[in-house]
Amino acid sequence: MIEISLMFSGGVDSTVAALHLAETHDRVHLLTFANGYGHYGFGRTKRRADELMARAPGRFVYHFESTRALFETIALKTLADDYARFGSGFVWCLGCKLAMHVASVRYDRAHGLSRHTDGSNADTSEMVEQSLISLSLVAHFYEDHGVAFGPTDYDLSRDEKRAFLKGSGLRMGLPLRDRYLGIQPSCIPGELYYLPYLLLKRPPRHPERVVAGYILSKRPLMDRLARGEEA
Amino acid sequence: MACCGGKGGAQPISRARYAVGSLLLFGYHGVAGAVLEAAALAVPRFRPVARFHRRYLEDLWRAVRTRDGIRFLGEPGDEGCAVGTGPEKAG
Repeated sequence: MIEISLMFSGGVDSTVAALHLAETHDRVHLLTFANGYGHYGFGRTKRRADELMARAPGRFVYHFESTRALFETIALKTLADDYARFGSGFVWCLGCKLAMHVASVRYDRAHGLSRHTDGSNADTSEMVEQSLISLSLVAHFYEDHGVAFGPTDYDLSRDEKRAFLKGSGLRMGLPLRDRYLGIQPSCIPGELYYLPYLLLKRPPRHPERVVAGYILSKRPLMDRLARGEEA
Repeated sequence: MACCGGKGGAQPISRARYAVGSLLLFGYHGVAGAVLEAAALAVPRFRPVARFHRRYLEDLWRAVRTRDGIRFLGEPGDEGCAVGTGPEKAG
């Protein structure tokens, strides 16, 4: 049986990824994580997962997990120091995502899965966790724990994804510019961090060297946590 | 100043958008900050978060007030430039 896990929010990117993966895999494990800090609306994700499971019974498995403890260990314990050292609020968002990657590795290892993916997209690469430098360093992390990682449909444009999703007959949510509201969880800190970009066109600052420095500084801790060792 | 070319560059906005956008931005931050400070009084795990938000908001306030990374329409440098030809390219 060919299986893969997918970090899943229920939004456009991860839903399209799930549909595509279901064409080439016998089972797709949809993994949803909540960090416990202003991260809410997971009923939306569950509804999307239910839609997919009803559409292709047996093809999807849904898993919801709190990453609060991992997030606190990886990001919050050193938040002030990291902010001073790396000089950008991305330490919150990226720390959150790294915790989710650790949780994914744990899930994959527990279920004997050797492939993991997410809905990262070139069109939203201004988001620090979807930048190429982040994805490539995260891929090394997975690889070192015996899991192959790469985003699904990274170069498929958002317009193409929207068209695909509309054609699939699944719920689209409330359109707002290039986003759809009400189909995936919300994150208040994430909204606050990207708001200057959305409102004032002030781009977030994610120099590759700095982003890489942050991820690499967390790697030893992530490795220990992924192996289930004490931090 | 970063070139407008590419996704990494600041895109010019109108002065009205700057004013309204700043109000919305700091309004949201203000409410979130107040809730966080109140939560931090009762729940210890929110204390480092509240401290971080305070520091972050101070820096953001300074950046928006001085228009660091924010450009107005019609200002010099708003002629447009091709992707990857600006100062960010040189690094």
